[in-house]
Formats: sequence, structure tokens, C-alpha cells
Amino acid sequence: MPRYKATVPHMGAGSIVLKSLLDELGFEAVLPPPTTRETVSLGARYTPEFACLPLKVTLGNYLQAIPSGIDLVFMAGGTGPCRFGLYGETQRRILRSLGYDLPFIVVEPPQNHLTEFLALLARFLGPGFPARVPRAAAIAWAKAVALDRLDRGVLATAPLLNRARRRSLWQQRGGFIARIDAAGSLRSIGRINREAAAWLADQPRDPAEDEPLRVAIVGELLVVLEPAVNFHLEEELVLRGVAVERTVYFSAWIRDNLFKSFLRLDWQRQIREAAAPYLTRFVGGHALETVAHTIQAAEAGGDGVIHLAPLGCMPETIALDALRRIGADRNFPVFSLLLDEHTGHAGVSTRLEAFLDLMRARKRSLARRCQ
Amino acid sequence: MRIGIARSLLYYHFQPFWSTLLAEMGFETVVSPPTNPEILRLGLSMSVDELCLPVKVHLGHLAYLATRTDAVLSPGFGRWGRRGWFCPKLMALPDLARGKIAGTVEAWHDLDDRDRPAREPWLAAIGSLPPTAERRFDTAWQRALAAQDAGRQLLAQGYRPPEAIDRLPGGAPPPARGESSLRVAVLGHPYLVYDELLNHNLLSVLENAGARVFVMESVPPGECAREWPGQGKRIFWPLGRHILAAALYYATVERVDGIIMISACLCGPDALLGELLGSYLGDLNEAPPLLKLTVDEHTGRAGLLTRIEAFLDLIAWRKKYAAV
Repeated sequence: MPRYKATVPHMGAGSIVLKSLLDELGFEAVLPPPTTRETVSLGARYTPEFACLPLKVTLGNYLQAIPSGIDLVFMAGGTGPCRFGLYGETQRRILRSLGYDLPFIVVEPPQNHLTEFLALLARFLGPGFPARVPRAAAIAWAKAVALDRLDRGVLATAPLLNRARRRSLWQQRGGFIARIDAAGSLRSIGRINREAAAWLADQPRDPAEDEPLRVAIVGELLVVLEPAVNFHLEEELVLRGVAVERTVYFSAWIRDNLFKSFLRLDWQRQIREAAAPYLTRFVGGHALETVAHTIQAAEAGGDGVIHLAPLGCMPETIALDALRRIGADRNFPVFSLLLDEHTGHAGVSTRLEAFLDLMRARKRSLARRCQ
Repeated sequence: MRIGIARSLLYYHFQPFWSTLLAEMGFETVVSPPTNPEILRLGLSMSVDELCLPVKVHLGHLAYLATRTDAVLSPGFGRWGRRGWFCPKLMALPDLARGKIAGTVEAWHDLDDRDRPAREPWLAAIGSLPPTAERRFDTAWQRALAAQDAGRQLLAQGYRPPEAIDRLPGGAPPPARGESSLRVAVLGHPYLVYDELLNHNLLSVLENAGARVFVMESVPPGECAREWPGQGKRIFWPLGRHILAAALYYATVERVDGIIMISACLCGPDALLGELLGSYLGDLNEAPPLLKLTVDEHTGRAGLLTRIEAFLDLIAWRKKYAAV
């Protein structure tokens, strides 16, 4: 069988994981060039104005991958109510109208279309591919866990370091990501995990003058995970010494949405209970998680929440309404940053600085009141 | 006890069911007036900007009723059959309303494959209200479902939803609609197509210009499940699927000269449905032209009229040209 060239859109650590999965299954994975502002503009040029940003960005990814001669596109699917479930159909038709009639393999939640999906894969991979699935899945999953463990470690360690060390920590993080990307066996991933843990443990701690601000990042999967889309928000916060708690991780998303849904575990129960004062029902996407994590951040004594959402994202608009009320009811700083292709870096930086100032002032005044 | 029913969102699909059920249970019902500037202003004042206009207007209707009734029916819409969902904002309606409007009675709709709501949430919502008429509930429920079916039959006979609602208690026949050489289908969510404030009287404007207007509720029920040739995926929103199926019907069966799709600004489903509809029509031989109108609270009447006139001119010109 020829090795078909398959591409997937970028989604932070997610694309590294999917690339590994496709390669091990017998495709030749071709990742698009890294997402930049140009990707965003390119995608926005050919998509409906009020489509949400992830649809535009991922279409931009495909358009930038096409010059490498790809044969097919992998895309996650969904059964609603969020628009994500129709991305594949919409993007396939837009690409076709631009002269690229590419097959899309849309990965639907496994409980619905498993047999059809396996038959489709067999067409591109040959009938023997199921034998390769266990190894491919194990390696991909190990990479997903390793990448997220690395990020959790970096985010926990960075606020304990001085400014120069924070910068070098962030740079070295890139080296570990590249090594996880290149790793070809479970053994080598395990070795990288141990080295990363030792590296983080060895970072010299500096006695901090002030307690750092503690900020949780909540919101929609792609805009949280993809740095070019959120103007490298996480990096900017880390370099400024803010203790960032990211509430969205790729491996957790896979675990909840694929594995647990497949096993029909009610993984949302805790989230639903936490969100209940402001949102009582599942409304698609990440709305429940966004609301629940914001309430949890307020109750855990955090200094604020940054909410990242694509403009017009239906579930996150619901969450936005709830977050406004949470912020007002609890006198808790919440900054909702709604992103689209017109959002500019300077505007985001200015608003972020203002928000950091606000949180610092509030923290000082709360501290004074306690004395 | 007076219960308010909002003339917004899916009112035009569920009015027979709601009003029959509440009346049979012994409540007095009050329907809010057609959207007016006061209701619009109320709705805008209590919404985050990023919500779509119809949801803002819905909150306005609930707030309007809240000061005039003892309780307000606050509907929410969840599942549709085994595979479908209403849009996230319709699913979140009770939550959006709860934080802003006092005295709501939440009425949850999980629809089965025959578009009938599940009984339990309704029993929980109104079975306990005074006058405690739980024993009446079974009869009321059956009568409400029958009223809903009767309403649907009127739609299949060519009534528009507001006409069917007027007619239901045994009122007037629908206005006669003569044939015209200008046949235009107006497709969109019922809360835009039948809200004359939001759509600036779109249907009357077209009819006064001599067009015969077709709406999606008049599509025979059997045609509503059809899909476009080459459609790769079922639409999981019931109204979205209805809009696309109606477009297919008016493009290929009961052929019209033009299709107008009216959407609300920041309507999530319509952003993709409009793109898909344009794409499906483009694959068709001799497809009718498509005009996509997007409205929000800032839409000016003059701009809308100009676009409609230009579209009607285009259709007339196209027919003349094709005839030569």
C-alpha cells in the first residue's frame, strides 16, 4: 500500500499527538506550518464572517498544508449542539470550491459510527491496520500525557523562579516538546518524562518578594491551546511571574470526550454540580467546564480568571453571561477575551496589563483588610 | 393565577400546545404583544452584547410579562429525537432567564422523533402550581398534544404559523394568496420570519411588491427529512435541518424564483447553514438565486428595502432574460 499523506489542524500539543498516531497507523502525517496570524487571516478570507474562529484557523491550516501535497484531511467531528460537529462538512465544501477536492476523514464520537469509520480507515491503510492500533494508540496517549505533564510542571515551577530563569525555563520547555515529538517508543517517552521531572526539580527557587498573582485560564479548547491564536497569553503571563492554572488540557479532553463517553461514564457530573448555581445543563462545547472552573477558582482564593473564547462561540457566549454574573456576585475579577481575526496584539496586551493591575490592587486591598 | 407566555423564539411552533395545556390546567394565560421597542429595549438592557438578537428579544418578552403576570413560562429546548439538539442558546434559555427575571416557571422541551415534548419536565414544572391540579394534568396533556397536532395540520394546509394561531380557536380562514409570476421563498427561524419588528415587515414588503411568498412551515411534512445531494452530514439542529430541507423543496419541487434566507447577527447555526446552503445550491443546475439577509438591533429599514428591491429586480430580469 502507498503511504497516504494525511494532515491534521494545529491544536497546541494536540497536533503532535495526532501526528504520532497517524504515522504509527501507517499514514505519512504532514503537519501544516505552525499557526501564525497569517494562517488566521488566510482562513478568515474564505469562511463565513460569523463562523467561529477555530473553523477559520483550521481552514487556514489546511490551505497552508496543501502545498506539501496532502492526500486527505483528518478532522474531529461531533453530534452537536455546538457548531464544531459541522466543521468537516463546511470546510470540505469550502476547499472544494477553491479547487481542492480533498477527502476528509471526520472522526466522530466512537459510540455512533465505529464500524463505518474502521472500514474507511481500511481503505487507506489496508486491511491489516488494526494490528497496528494498540501500539499507535499507546504511543500517542503517552505523548499526550507527557506533553501535558510537562506543561503542568512548567506552570507550577515558573512562578517560583526569578525573571531570567523563567525565560530560560520557557525556552527549554520547547526543547522537551521537540524531543517528545521525535520520540518513537514508550521507553524513550518515559526517559524524557524522568528527565523533565528532574530538570524541573533542579530549578533554583528564588525567595519571592511578593506572592505571585494566581490566575486560572478557562475557555474553549482551541483558543486556549493554540498560542498563535491567543497571542501567546500563557507565555506572557508566565514571563511576568503570574502563577497560571490552565484548566484545559488536550489529554484530559480526550479522556473525557472519547474514553469516558465511550464507556458511558457520567464524567460531567462533578462539573455540572459545580456549575449549577449559574448553569444547570450541558449546552455543548466547554461552557459547563468554563463556568465550573471559574467558580472553583473564586472559591479556591485565586486572584482572577481569564476566559478565552472565540467571538460568537455559542457555548462560550452562554458561559460569558454566567461569568459576568459570577464576577459581579462574588466581586471576583473575570476577564473575558473574545477572539476573532480582527483582534490585535497591542489591544490584547493593553487589556491584559490593565487586568493584572486590577488584580494586584484587589489583592493588596484584601491583604490590608485582613491585617 | 395568570401565567405569561412570551411571543418569542419558538412561540410560533408551540403556542397551541402551551396555551391549551395551561388553560386546561385552569390557568389564565397572557401572551406578550408582538415585539415592540419597549420589549426590545428591555431585552437589550439585560443581555451581554454577544448573545444573538432573538435571545435578547426573548428576555425582553419575559421581563415585560414578569411585571404583568403572576408567573412567566420560561421555555428551554434540549434534545430532538435521539440524535439532534437545539442550539446551545436555546438549551441555556432557562439559565439565562433565571439570573435576570423573577418568577419564572421553567418549561423544558426534550422532543421525540414526532416533535412531541417529554412529559416529565412539564409535570414537574406546572403540576405543582396552584390551583393544585395535578389530577387534571393527564387530560390537559392529551388535549395540548392534540392542539399541537391540529396546529400542524393547519400549517400543512398552507396557513402561516401566526394565521394558524389565530384560526385555532375556530376563527378566520387564511387570507387567499394569489399566484404571482414572482415566487419567493423566505426561509429562516420562525422567530425572525414572523417577528415584524425584527424583520422590518419582510413578508408584507415582498407581498406588496407583488411577490407570492412561501415559508418553510408550508413544506409537506414528508419533504422535511430530505437531504441535499452530496450532503455529507446530517444537520443536528431541528430548525436548521428544516431550513435546508425547505430550501431543497423550493429549489427542486415547488420551484421558486428566488430564496431569501434571513438570519440574526451572531446566530451560530445560520453562519454555517448559510454557507452550506450557498454551496448546495451552487451544485444544482438552474438553482434559484439566494439572498442572505442578516438583521440585528441596528439594522436600518432603508438598507433592507434596497437589498430586497435589488433582489426582486434581479429575479424579474433573470426570468425575462431566460425567456428570450
